[in-house]
Amino acid sequence: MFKKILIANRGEIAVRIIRACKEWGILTVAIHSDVDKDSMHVRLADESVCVGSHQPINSYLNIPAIMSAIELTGAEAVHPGYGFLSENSEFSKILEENKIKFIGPSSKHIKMMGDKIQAKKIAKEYGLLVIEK
Amino acid sequence: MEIDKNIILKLINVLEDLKKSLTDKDYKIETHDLEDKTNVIKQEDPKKSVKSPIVGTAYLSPEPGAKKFVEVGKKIKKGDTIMIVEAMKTMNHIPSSLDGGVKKICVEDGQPVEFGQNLIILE
Repeated sequence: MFKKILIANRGEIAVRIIRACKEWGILTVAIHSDVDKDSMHVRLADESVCVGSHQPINSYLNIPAIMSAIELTGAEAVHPGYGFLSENSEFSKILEENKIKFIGPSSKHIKMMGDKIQAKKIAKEYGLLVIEK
Repeated sequence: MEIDKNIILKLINVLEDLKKSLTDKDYKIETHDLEDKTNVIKQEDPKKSVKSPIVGTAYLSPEPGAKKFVEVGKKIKKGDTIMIVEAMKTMNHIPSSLDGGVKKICVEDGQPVEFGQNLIILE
């Protein structure tokens, strides 16, 4: 079991993850942008780190800043929730390389199944029936 | 709009008290004075501070034991390095965004800093 995880998401998604972590006794780290500093997920989490300005590309999608936040807080794993970095194979790969657990599929599997056309090709290779375009 | 965190905390407390008073008849609601604690966190004037542009670890001097980049009372110019913020083993020199005298250094050597955190206050 993890002692501390970082939640790379905001709002209700992050709140739901924090709730599950509290039930399991896992410490939580919330990340947020400068304008979200008073939002619910920041208040509920045990720790919070402001990672960037209001545009998501500078905060919730800012991989270098999130990696720094992981390093500073000593989180063992990252829960991406859904949307944002949850289907980003690059992010998942960087985490794997840094020996931080990504709570979700491996980067290899995201790459295989994240793209619908690619996913269909692979499904066909394995003899599964797919709807042709 | 800026929301004072203390007001939210007070409101949460009041709500908890109300809940307790509903279930427990003997529970006495303490009167909360909303005004006395709302100004605990003083908002620093954002126009006169240099904020961190990245998440990382702040270092006040170029190397351990060396002279600090800035001292309280010293005059600095726009563009002068005020400290280093290390992120993922990269030493980022943080330039001052303003001219002025250093009033206060808000972080300690080796302290983690987040985006938008005040690093130094100028006057």
